Amino acid sequence: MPYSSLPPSAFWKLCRNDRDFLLSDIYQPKFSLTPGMRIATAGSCFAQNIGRYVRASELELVDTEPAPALMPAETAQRFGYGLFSARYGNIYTARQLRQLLEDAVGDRLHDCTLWQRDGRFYDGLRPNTEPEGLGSEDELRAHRLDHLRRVRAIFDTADVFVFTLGLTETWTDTDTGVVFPTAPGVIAGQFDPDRHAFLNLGMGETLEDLSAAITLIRELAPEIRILLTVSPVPLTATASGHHVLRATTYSKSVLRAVAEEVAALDPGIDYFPSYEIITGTPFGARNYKDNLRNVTTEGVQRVMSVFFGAHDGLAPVDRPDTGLARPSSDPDEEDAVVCEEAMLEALAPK
Amino acid sequence: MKLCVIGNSHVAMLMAALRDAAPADMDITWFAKPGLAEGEAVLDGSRLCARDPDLVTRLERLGTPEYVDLAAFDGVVFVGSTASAFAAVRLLQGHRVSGWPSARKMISGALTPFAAPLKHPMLSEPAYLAALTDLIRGNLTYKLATALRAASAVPICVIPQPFPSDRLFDGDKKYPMFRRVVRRGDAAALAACLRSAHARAFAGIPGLVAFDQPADTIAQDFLTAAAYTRDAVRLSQTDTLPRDDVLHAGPALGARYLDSLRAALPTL
Repeated sequence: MPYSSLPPSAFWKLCRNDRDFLLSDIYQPKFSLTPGMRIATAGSCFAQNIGRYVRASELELVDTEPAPALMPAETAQRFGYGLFSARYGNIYTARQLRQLLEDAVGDRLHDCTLWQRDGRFYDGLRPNTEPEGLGSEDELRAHRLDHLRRVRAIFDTADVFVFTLGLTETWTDTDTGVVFPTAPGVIAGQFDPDRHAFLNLGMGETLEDLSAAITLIRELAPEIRILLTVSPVPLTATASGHHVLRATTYSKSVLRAVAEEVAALDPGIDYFPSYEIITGTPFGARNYKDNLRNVTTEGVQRVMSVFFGAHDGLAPVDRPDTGLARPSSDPDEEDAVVCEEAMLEALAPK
Repeated sequence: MKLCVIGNSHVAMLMAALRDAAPADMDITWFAKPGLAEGEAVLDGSRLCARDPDLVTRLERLGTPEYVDLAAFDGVVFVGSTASAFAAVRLLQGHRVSGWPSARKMISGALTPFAAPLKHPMLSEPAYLAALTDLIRGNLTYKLATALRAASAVPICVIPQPFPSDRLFDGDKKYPMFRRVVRRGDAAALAACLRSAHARAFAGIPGLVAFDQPADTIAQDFLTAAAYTRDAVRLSQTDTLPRDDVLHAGPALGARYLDSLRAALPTL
């Protein structure tokens, strides 16, 4: 009979009977990770947690733009060092990843992303990495180009690329099709309604973007394995015109479905269910802080325990130090991750 | 003027200046130890307590009790334990600041299509300045000064560690990173960042002044002129420093800071 030979984890009731909902069975890796393997990370805010745990583990985090010796951890984070494998900041959409890789391969700059404010120059594609801007346009162009070359260098060494899909909503420059990590004007730059438009990427577009990104990655590193995850962090705000809950459900559904589809068709691509471990109804809201948006450190630890526990060759990882000196009592601020999207909170009507 | 001077081995330049001049207007309590570190002296309200046995022994030699109420002084002076020129140079070990004079060639190299990544990654000046500022905030002087301000309104002065002597390049030791900063023409920019970092770090503490090293005591933009490092002594004052010591300043610079203290404290 179908079902009769299935493991307990295939049955909701049997999972429910287990204190931990049989979470240890939720992930069977397609490929094994072993000590010393070089892991590259990119993605939305939640992906920063993966980098921290990888750094604290027996794995090696690829970092092609390391912070200067002696730079305090808090300063480094504020300037985008050590969050991911290069200083690209948060990559929320599959389109943003595709664009970054195309720029890196093509050594390409976009004039529309060179923003100016009060005589300082900002990289519109990673405005948070230099919050005080740079002194000249040439300096900005040089920083961006050198960054792109270091993005490309990630794939000279990485064994595994971990990408966390975060959003489908983005803002685009209608003349060029360039997408931004955050709406122009939120951190720097100026919003131009004639030129900047909201874009909510659909299932087909997200699948096409992610597939194109993976093709580019494989051209740079044919043997690389890819691990996809979906961020469990809800949208801070939506420009879709819908309720933020509906918009969150749409966005995460598209990302989750695309991740499954891409992983299902390729033995070198795996999906890790961090989204389910945090958002699953068996766990209620226990993995979220009081704002029901930020994931608790215990929730992150649970995700990472499942991940490292699934790889026999890897020792468990204790909660790594965030490197941040001053904890905040505000759940909207106290995350150890750097998140431009969360800045939209400040734009909400009072 | 009753002062308490707290700090590391750089306190000795003030001791030497006082020994030489013996001014009648200053009554100083010394609370110092070479490399004074966090946890060795702690503040309980405005009371500074020595927790480290070695510090207690050294305080005994200086005639200082192991507990001192800082609120009872006309001013408290912190010396050193902020961020030094050595830290400022160390931050450049693997990076180059893209906003500095030497960066033109580096920027032009990066702008060349399909160039390889730069040998030394670029570091923006704001990131460099922020690193120095946060290093200062992570060090003992800032921590004690903020804790003291929470407990007392006593005026506070901060004397940063002097720039190393311009005899730095004379001896057997090479100090290649300092040489590189000079060769690349970045010394003035580095010193300006170090000054700005001190100003930024301490800006939020009322009734506190952080002194800049007087301009006429500086050589090659980020070193201390030899005249101001001559006759530098240890905290014990009985032992001399090794001939090749380039870290410490002498009584001439100490005297300049005593003048600065006289001028600043009544205004705080």
